Amino acid sequence: MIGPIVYGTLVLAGLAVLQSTVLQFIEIGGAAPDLVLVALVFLANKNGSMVGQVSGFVGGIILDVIGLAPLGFYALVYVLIGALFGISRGKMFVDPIFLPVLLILIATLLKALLALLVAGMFGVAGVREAVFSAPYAIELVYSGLVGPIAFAAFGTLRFLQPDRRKGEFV
Amino acid sequence: MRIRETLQRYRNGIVLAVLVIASIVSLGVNTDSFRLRPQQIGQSTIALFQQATSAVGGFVAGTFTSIRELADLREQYDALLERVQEYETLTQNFDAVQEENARLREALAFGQSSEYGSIPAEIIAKEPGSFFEGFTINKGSVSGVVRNLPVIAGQDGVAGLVGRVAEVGLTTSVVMPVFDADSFVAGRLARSRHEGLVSGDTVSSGLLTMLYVDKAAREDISVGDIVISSGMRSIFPEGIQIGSVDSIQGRPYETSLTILVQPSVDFSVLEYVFVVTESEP
Repeated sequence: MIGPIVYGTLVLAGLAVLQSTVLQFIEIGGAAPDLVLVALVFLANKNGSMVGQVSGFVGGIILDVIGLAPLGFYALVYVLIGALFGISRGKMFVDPIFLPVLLILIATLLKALLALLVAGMFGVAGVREAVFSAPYAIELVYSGLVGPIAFAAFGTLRFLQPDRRKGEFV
Repeated sequence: MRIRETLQRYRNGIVLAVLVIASIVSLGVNTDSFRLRPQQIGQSTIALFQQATSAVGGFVAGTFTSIRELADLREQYDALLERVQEYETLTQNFDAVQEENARLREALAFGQSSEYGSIPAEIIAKEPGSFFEGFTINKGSVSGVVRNLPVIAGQDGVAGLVGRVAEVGLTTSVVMPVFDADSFVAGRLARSRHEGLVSGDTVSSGLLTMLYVDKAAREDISVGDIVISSGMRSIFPEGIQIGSVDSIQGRPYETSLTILVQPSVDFSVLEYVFVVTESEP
């Protein structure tokens, strides 16, 4: 349990840095895939809610720190996404293509919904405009398409998954 | 024993509640502009990785770009030879134009007021999330950057307003661009001198919105008119070019005009900026 939390958090931190620097080179229409979200969904789906929510919280804090978001904004959104997607652990067969796309599409829409709620509650400006914009629609599709590739890549990283020898696999 | 069992049973829920509360408390503190800003500490730490990743990414991207550019170089070489001859002619006229320009600027007393003390900086990272529009520059408090300093950039020979410094770390700062929904600049139409408040408007595809312009000014304003900062009760010094009028909206029942403004700075190609430290010469 501790391993996936620590390694997962490190992977999310690395992806957050990549997302703010290198990923701008592959932007389409001002949008890039949200790799932090994709990795979080993978982690939560493989390891459950505890890993999902803790990793989501830390990953969200990192996004808050390096950007303009008020501290706690992404943390709250991602902790809830991590907790919710953790429920899906062991309850579905994740095929290589269809389900990763579906999970990422749902997660991206859920991220928008939660962001709107948090922004509404705390009076954070600009979120509504960003959610109902063309770049966010592009991000939705882009992240969905990247999902299967990213899931396959993360699947090769044993340290992001529960240790079957210790009976952690459900 | 029972407490331990209960804790074990509801472990997921308890941890989730703790994390949610921590996020909400943090948001509450942060959105109330609390003085203590833990963001600065984290930002300074993450900045080291951002700078390294940006440098590596830039190197790799630069290598691929160079290979592609080699193929175009020969073609461009021939074209440039022709253009050199044109420029030789233009250069002869340049000195005369420059002298004339200097005289005009002196006459209008704009020569000194257009110069700002500034800190040059490079953009090393963009906002990682989807909902905000900031970007990170490679200068922080060590270089003398403080919060709310104006940021400008030179494009096409014009110093355009980029935004203001929103967060400062030791070696990096986060800039809030002028098109952010939270950005407000006291603006003025350079030709007609009417004033308004320029704010970010991400709905209208990157255009800014100039609000509260006197309705009587409708006849004095034309598409293409330049909008500058007015300097009135603002952190932005007077005379920085914000953009040009894209369209004018004014409904009969409204008491003021709303003007859509095309920013002077093309943010999609922005690489270097200047943090204005002295607005007076």
